[in-house]
Amino acid sequence: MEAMTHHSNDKDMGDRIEQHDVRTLPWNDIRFRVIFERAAIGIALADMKGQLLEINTALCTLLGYTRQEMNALMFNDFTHPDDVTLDMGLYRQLIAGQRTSYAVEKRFIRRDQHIIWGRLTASLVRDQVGTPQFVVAMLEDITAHKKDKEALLESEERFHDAFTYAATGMALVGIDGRLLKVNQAFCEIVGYAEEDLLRKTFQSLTHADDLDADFVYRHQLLRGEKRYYHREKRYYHKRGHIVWVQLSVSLVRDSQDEPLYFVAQVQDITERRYIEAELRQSEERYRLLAENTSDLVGLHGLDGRWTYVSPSCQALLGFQPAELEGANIFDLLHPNDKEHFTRFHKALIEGNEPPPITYRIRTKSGEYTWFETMARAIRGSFGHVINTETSSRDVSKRVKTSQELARQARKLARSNADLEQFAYIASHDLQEPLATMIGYLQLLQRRYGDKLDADADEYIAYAIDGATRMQALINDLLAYSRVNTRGTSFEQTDCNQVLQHALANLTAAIEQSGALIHHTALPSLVGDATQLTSLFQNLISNAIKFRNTTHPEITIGVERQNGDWLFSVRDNGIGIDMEQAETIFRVFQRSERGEHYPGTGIGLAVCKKIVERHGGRIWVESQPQHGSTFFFTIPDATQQKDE
Amino acid sequence: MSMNTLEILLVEDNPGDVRLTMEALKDVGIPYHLNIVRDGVEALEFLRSEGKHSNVPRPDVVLLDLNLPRKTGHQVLAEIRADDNLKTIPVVMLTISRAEEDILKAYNLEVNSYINKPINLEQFTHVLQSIREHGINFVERTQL
Repeated sequence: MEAMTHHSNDKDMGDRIEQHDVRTLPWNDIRFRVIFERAAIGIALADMKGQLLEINTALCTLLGYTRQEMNALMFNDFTHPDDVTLDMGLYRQLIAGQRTSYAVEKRFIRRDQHIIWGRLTASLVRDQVGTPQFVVAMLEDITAHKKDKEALLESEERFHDAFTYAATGMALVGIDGRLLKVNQAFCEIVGYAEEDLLRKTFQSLTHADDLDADFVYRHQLLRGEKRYYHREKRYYHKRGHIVWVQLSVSLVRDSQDEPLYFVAQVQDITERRYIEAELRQSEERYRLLAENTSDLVGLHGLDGRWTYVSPSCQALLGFQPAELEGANIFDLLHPNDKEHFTRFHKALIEGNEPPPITYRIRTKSGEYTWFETMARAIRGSFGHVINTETSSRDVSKRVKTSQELARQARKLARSNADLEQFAYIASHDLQEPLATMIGYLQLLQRRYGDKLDADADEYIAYAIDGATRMQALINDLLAYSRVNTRGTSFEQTDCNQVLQHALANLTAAIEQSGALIHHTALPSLVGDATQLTSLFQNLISNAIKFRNTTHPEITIGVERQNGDWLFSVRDNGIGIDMEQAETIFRVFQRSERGEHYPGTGIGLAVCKKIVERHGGRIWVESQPQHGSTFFFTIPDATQQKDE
Repeated sequence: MSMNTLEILLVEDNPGDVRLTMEALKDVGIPYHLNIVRDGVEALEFLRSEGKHSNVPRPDVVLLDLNLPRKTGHQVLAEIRADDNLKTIPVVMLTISRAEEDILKAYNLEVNSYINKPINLEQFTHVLQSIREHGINFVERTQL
């Protein structure tokens, strides 16, 4: 009261106001005083200029000032600078009579400089004639409320973001089915823009065949029988095709438990459905094949036990499928195949892919049948092998044929070897008596040559000549059979050295004929050096023997061809009629051209045998009177290794 | 070694070939003394003066057939070259075999000469004369 009087005195306001002041306010009313003082909200009376006339304790507490300190302050002194303009504007409007009251939420600065939020309600009090008397301002601390509201806004924003940017399609759907809110992922699943979707209903997107089930589920939610439901269903995409989705729906109710809207989460599972359909189809196909195949198709546990076996087992093994299911393949193996099969099975269940296995299975009658089995490991969802799938074919015939073939081949090889051995021994043993015969004929010639007549001398000479030719034939035959029976093992061999060796052995013939020999650098290869020497020696000696001119020229060359070395020995000799190109390589096949030349005609047969022992082939290209070229190949062992 | 008489051991199982060799020796014209054994085992007994050969002369040259009963010519040659008492005796192979491996094997066992049957008298004469002069130091290379 005192303070107020004191303030009033300092103000320019007239006495009239002061009088009105005193008169109009019920200050003397003790009840009013108590209410003013004890009110939980801060209250102030201010004059038209904003000077505080009266304040209550709650206001002092709110702003942290004592009553004395407050008396010296204007409203603006504890208003946040950013809110001064707003507040002053409203205050002026109030005083000017443009409004009778105003309420504003603004910031106040406490004495300790803390900022608090307050709701200020100001109203103008007039006297009976309408003259403004003073302003009543009420201040309520809403800082806590304000903070809650901010937190709420923030959480709403977060929810909004979560909804908008979720990878899963999300929609809020009204009780009538209208789409209230959709996110980007949902738009992408069905192919519509957001604004198009908000004009649509859930039902219009749903495949006609899936509507009934949806209806039932939605009513279960509305009746409270379920809190949510999940199902797979189809949507129509904007472009007309069908989209399979996994749908999860729940219902949101208000505080009175009245249904507000549905929340739907939608995931595109079209691809998964497609794969599942493929899988089902392939399984059906597999079963169809398994049931009808003539092969033995089976599924096995990891221990080898049959969990499924195709009906063909009856024809193949004499067992009914029911007899084999539960039985173990290991119990039906031929004893000699067990080790081999165990390795195959181990590789299989370790997840490798072993090549098909050929082995014997015991039939119901106790006999064994040959099978070829292809097998595959089947993996579970964590990638480990859970069982195996086998497909087995009866290969008895094939095995029998190949066994027969192998037996024939062995027999043939044996008989070839026997023949060579025979030729060797026979030739060797033939030589001894022949040498004795020649020895005595020569002795006869030496001792009695001058005691017999000319006819006797001639007869002895023919006998010696015949026996000597026979000796040459036997020697050649021996050389021929020795190619395979007495050949040495293959070693890395430098063909340049081989050729030099052959030429050294032919020195006399080369000098005598005046032959010119040309050759390129030759490779090093794996072979029998002695035999390769014979090969070159035979071919060069032949070229010299069948010369045409007084200047025989022989060229030895080599090139690569399909991983082989292709050698050539070319001469400018009499050549060969190509009709005889094959026969000249036969044993003792003396061609027409050979009639006037010495020799038994085994040289080229030996060459052929040497080349073939090295895995190559030999042939000749020629024109009579224009020389011959002998070609032969020797595989390049290093190339073979790479292939 | 006497320069007058060549002490020869002929190892040969075929009587026809024995006679032929004797005739060839006649034609060579070198004075010689010939002992004949019929197989490889007997040849070594002779050389080591064993059994019935307790009092025989040491030969100046051995004419050795390759294809022999009981022990082959190669085996006999190998044992001669492995025996310290015998290894300096010259050995001439007399054989029908022209097989490279037989010839190489003989030279690897240090044969002094390799002569093919029927005997070439010229070669035979040359070899025997050379051995008479040079003993073990004479070696004739046969071309393969």
